[in-house]
Amino acid sequence: MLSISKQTEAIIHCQPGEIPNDIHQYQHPVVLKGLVKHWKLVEVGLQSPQKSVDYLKSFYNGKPVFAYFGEPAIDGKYAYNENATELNYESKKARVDEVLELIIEHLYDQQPPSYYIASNVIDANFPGLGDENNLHIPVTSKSSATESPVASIWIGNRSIARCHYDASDNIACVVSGKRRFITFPPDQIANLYPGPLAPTPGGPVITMVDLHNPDFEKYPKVKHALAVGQVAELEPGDGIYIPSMWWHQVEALSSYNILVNYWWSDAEKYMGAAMNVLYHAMLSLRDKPAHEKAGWKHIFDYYIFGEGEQPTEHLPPEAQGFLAPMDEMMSRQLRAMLINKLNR
Amino acid sequence: MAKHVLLNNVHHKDTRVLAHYAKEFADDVASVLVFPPEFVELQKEYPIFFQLDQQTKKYQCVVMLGLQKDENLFLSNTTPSGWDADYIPAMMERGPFLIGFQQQDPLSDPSPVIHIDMQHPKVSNDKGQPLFLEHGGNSPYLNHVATRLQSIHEGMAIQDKMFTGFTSCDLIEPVNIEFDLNNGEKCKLTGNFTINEEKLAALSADQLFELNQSGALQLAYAVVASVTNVRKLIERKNAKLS
Repeated sequence: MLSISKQTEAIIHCQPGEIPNDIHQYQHPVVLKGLVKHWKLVEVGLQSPQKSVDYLKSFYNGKPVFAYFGEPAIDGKYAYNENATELNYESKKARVDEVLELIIEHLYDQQPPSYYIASNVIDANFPGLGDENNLHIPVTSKSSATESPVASIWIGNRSIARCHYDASDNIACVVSGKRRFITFPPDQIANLYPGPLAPTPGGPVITMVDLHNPDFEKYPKVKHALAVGQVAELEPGDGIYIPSMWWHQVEALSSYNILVNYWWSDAEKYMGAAMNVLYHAMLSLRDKPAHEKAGWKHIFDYYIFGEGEQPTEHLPPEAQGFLAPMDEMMSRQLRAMLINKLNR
Repeated sequence: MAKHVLLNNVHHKDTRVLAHYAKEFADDVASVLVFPPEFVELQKEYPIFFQLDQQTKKYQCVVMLGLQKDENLFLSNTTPSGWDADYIPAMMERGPFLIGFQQQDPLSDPSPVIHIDMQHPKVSNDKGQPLFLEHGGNSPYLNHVATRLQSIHEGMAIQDKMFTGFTSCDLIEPVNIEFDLNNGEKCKLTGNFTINEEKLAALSADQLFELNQSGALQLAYAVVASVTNVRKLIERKNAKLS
């Protein structure tokens, strides 16, 4: 049993296809009831899984994709083996239509094998599908942004994507099947007992805790997370906004599930992944002598996490160097310097 | 027995590679595979030919290094590298390294990585060029090898396109090379193919345009120009005999 009582805030009077313009002002997840209930893909799914499969196949361009294959025993819970050194499923190339057939073949099994096509860019494999099932994301995206909203499709039978965070903002739309979203604020990282940095099911680190059946002896602090976590159950046609860095566990509850999501990040592309900073800090900072490291905490607070113009306000512009607001050209100089200094 | 492993800066922390050339490293080969990106440099010193791969039935490119089996006339005791030429073919320079493919993450296609044959006679623990810097960064030598492997990798892709261009214009012909050495020995080299110079000169405007667009035209001329290097090889051989 999931011991989270707080329900995610919902906007229930959502006009189909209309995302509130101020969506990114929200500092927490928001359910957008009926956001995509006008989609053809939702409509055919409500008729039957087979209708949905036929509709998807009519757009499929035959390109192979990566798909997850799990034994019936994992029950769609994509995670780790006993000692968390390997994933508990196989990821291999497959044709979408073949995976769809397998899902249909096992639709009424008590314990079906697990099949999942995760995060597949719609335009790459289903040209035209996006035109009939389109959603405008109200973000003013600049060409230099890391990621402008792109639609991806997730197809599978029952699944649990263990609680993790993504760096991008996210709007996820449930197309077929019921889905449960369990979310936690970014400050809950320690209470969620993150797993290994690698391997991971899809890139981000996942929690080691089975949120439905937590081992409180092993993971006592998860109680604090459960106390502030929230849950939302979505029906076909519903959407949810999940802000960047929020922990989320996504559970596909039906025997046939489709989700379409949009990720975007307005961060300048030249910045690259913040995860690289973390790895670099593990190399060069984490194990420094305690007093030295403590000093660096102040330095980072001043230069990186501090507010506003403090590091530059007392310096003439011509003397600011890398302290000045970053731009494309400066980022190139900094990158070259780092590559050089790292190769030692 | 070759033992190919993925190169990394943990397992191969202290591994070194002898970067010079000598008979005892099995560098005494009479020909070596080459790739189109090298042609411009190769044509100045080596004869470039095509040969049919018996297994794949596809053409491949070689340069001739010697005139008989196990003879490499470019090996030299008088140069520091052990190789007497300005340009050394990438397949020779790669030494014990080769390109492998590794799945970096489960959701993307395999990408090229560097493998090393730990049984290769040039691999050492105490002599030769270090592969890694003190803290695990890439050594200049390793970076150089990486660019050579990269040009082999790219060359393989270009090569198929090049031969498609050559065969569609019917430019490839077999060539027999016969010559007498100063000691009176008569020699004959067979199994090689080259570009038919007359057919190259007689190409239509459309064919020229297409070959030029694909980059194959200048490669064809490089092959034609390289044939005179056979004479240089014979001179090397005669110098050795005298």
